[in-house]
This record gives sequence, C-alpha cells and structure tokens, in this order.
Amino acid sequence: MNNKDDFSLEQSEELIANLNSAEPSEFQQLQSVLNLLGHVAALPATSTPPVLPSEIAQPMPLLPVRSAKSHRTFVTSIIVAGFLTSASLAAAAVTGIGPTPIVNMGHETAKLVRGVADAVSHVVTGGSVITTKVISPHPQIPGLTPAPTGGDEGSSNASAGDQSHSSEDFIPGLPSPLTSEVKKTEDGKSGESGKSNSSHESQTPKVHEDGKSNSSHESQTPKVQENQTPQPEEIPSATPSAIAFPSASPTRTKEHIESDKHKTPESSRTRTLPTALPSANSTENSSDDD
Amino acid sequence: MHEKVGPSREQSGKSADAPVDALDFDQLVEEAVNGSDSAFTLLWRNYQPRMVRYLAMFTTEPEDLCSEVWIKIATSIKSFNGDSKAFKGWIYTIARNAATDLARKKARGGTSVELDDSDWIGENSTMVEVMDLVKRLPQEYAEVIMLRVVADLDASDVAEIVGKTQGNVRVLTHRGLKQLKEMLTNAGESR
Repeated sequence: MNNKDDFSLEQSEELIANLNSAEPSEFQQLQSVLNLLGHVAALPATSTPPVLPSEIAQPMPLLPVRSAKSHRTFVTSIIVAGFLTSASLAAAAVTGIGPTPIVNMGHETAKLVRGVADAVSHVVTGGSVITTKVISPHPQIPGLTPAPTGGDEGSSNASAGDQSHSSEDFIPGLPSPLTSEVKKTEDGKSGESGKSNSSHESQTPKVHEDGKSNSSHESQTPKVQENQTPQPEEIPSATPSAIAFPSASPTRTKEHIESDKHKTPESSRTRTLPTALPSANSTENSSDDD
Repeated sequence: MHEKVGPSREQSGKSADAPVDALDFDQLVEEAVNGSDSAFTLLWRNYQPRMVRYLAMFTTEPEDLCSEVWIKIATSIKSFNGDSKAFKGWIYTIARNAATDLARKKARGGTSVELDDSDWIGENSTMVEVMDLVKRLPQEYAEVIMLRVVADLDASDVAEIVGKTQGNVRVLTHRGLKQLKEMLTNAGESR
C-alpha cells in the first residue's frame, strides 16, 4: 500500500505522456491497462463513413424552412380572407341584410359574376341559348310579390311593346326550367293562335280571383291531356311574374336578344314584371266573356 | 500506440485509400471543410475507432451513437475553422454532447446505460475488464482519462471539452489514475 503515496501528479502526467513508449515504468500494471485501453484496431481501407458532406450539403439550400412557412401562411390567409369576403358578399346579396355598401357590392358582384357566366355560356353554346339574366337588385320572395291586378291599358300596351325585354328579367333560381317547359308547350301548340296562348297562361292568376275562370280553366285541361303535351297548368305554383315571361317572347330571335342587351335592366324590370299578366288578363277576360 | 495527429506529420496524401499515418491532417481538415468527400473519409477512418471506444463509456451501443455524431460532423463541417488539433477537440466535443443528450433521454425513460459484458462481442475479456474498471471510476475521472488516453488529447484540449481548467484536468487525471491503480492492486490481491 506504499505505492499509493508514491504516485504523484507528475508521475501520472509522465505515465500518460509515455503510454506509447516501450519503456517500462514503475507502475507497469497501470501502464499495461492504459495501453490496452488506448489501443484500437484500424478500420479497413474500404470502410466508408455513414454520410458524406456532399450528401448533406446539397439538400440544405432546397429547404428554406422559414420562407416556406411564411409563404404557406400568406397563401392560407389569402384563401381564408377570400372565402370570408365571398361568403359575406353572397349573404348580403341574397338576404339584403347588412350595411348598404356591402349589399350593393354584393349585388354588383353578383351582376359581374352573372355577366361573366353569360359571356362564357354564350361562347360555349355559340350564342344560341342565353339562360342566365341580370339579377334583380332587390330580392323578391315569390309569395310577397304583389300580383298585378290592374287592367291599365297603358301598362298593358307598354308591356306588349316591351315583351321582348322579358327574357332579361328572370328572377334567379326560378326561370330556366319554367322557360324551357313553357317553350315546349308553345312549340307543341304552334298551330294555335297567340290569343289562345295568352289566355292559357293567364289562367293562373285568374284561378285565385274568381271561380268562373276556374271552370273555364278546368274545361280546358282535359283537352290538353288528350294531346299528352306538357301542361302549362303545372306552372301555377310559381309566381305570376315568372309565368308571364315565357309568353312574352315565344318567337324570340337572336337579334331580339342582342337588342335587349342595350336596354337598362331598370326599365325592363319596371315594365315587364307586371305587364304580361294584365295583358293576358284582358285577353282572359275577353275569352271568358265569350 | 498513440498517433500524433497534426501538423507534425508532413506527409501528404489525397487518396481515400492512402494509409492514415501518411496523411497531413491539417490539409485533410482543410479539404474536408471545403467539401472533399475523400478527405472526410480519411478523417473518419482515423478518428472513428477511438471515438467508438470513448463513447462506449456512455452507452452500450457506441457504434450507433458514433454514426449520429459523424452525421452531425458532416452536417456542420463547413462551419469549422481551425487546424487538425482543433478539429479533434471539436469532434470530441460533438461526441460528448451527443452522449450527454443520449444519457439524458435514457434517464427520462428509465433505461440504464450501464455497460454489460455481452456488449463487447469480439473483444477479449481483458478489454471488458479494463472498461469495467474505468466505468467504476467516478464520471469526471473516467471521462478525462478516456479523453487523454483513448482520444489522445492533451490537458488543454480536454479542459476545453469538459469546461474545466487545465490544472483541474491534470488533477482529475491524477486522481483517476491513482484510484484505478488501487483498484488493480486490490483486484490482484483478491486473486
């Protein structure tokens, strides 16, 4: 146990420094242990490291994490903002509830979208069929729309002159299936007079007005069923204004449609919606009188 | 036993198949920093065995940990600025940090990092006994002895790695060797 006291700091440093020397020291056992500890076998010449710098250095510039993150955040926020804006504008345009500028903007946006849709459909279909029309700036609920009851001749004359405008005044969501259906009916009755057509279409409002016209309406129904043609009488569930549109332009041509585009929606709106029915009503009344 | 790696070796060799002893390590480090794969391979081939031996003090799977260390070295070698002596201290600092991180993770998981004899497959029993003795030393003693004996670092480099003064490293080395000598003596007397 005297060796413990003899082993000094200088001796330990000397032992570490002379590990690779063959000279035996007085602490031979410790020296052999340290030699064994420090001896390592060399790797074979064909061994390769787990990874080379060239394999790591190349992907590094391709991963701009920070810029990718900010870019992704920017794009996401843009998309979300777009969705929110479009949703609020659509809600304002449909319900008409909200600040006036937003509602107006919604209507303008709807007009723009429908105009684009018109242009696209016009290009796609070659201009033969135009089904989408300018939206009414004021939302119309079918049940609340006042039915034209007046037999004002001036208005009926004006409506007769402006019947070509009616195709632009469709209420969104209602007209297109009705228009096609009524057009089919009119095609099927091409041999009949325009008077009978107008009286046929005028039966719907008259049903709610008096029973007499109802009887005449019922008397005409079996006749149509015999021909197995689509019945315009199925329309009454729709609004009168929607029903009146097809009769206004039974023989519309492309030139008519083009000329209609130059007229403002306001004038056509104020005249066409009430007009078709009074004129038809007058015809109906005359036919009933007959 | 110990390779004197550094500027003292003036022989130059660029091929990855060249003997490690015949290489200019300063030039190798410079080329590796500039992106030379062959220079990096030669450095790896020279330092890998000793690093595995050093990391065996911390984990039972030193090869896996050493691979992770070399991946970190390859990733950040372009940011290194220094000669071969500083390079050796740098890579052992990375190895020590990786071992510390691993020990911390295993401590959280409750896994023991004690060295087992079965982990030294292929080694002779004497090496197992020596490593067992070293691991019985206090951690700071064993670490400075491993860095000075296995990694062949001088006291100033070890002091920089472990964050102590050079004199403190010398004292720790002396105390570790003294305790190791006592353990050897006691083991011989018990036989």
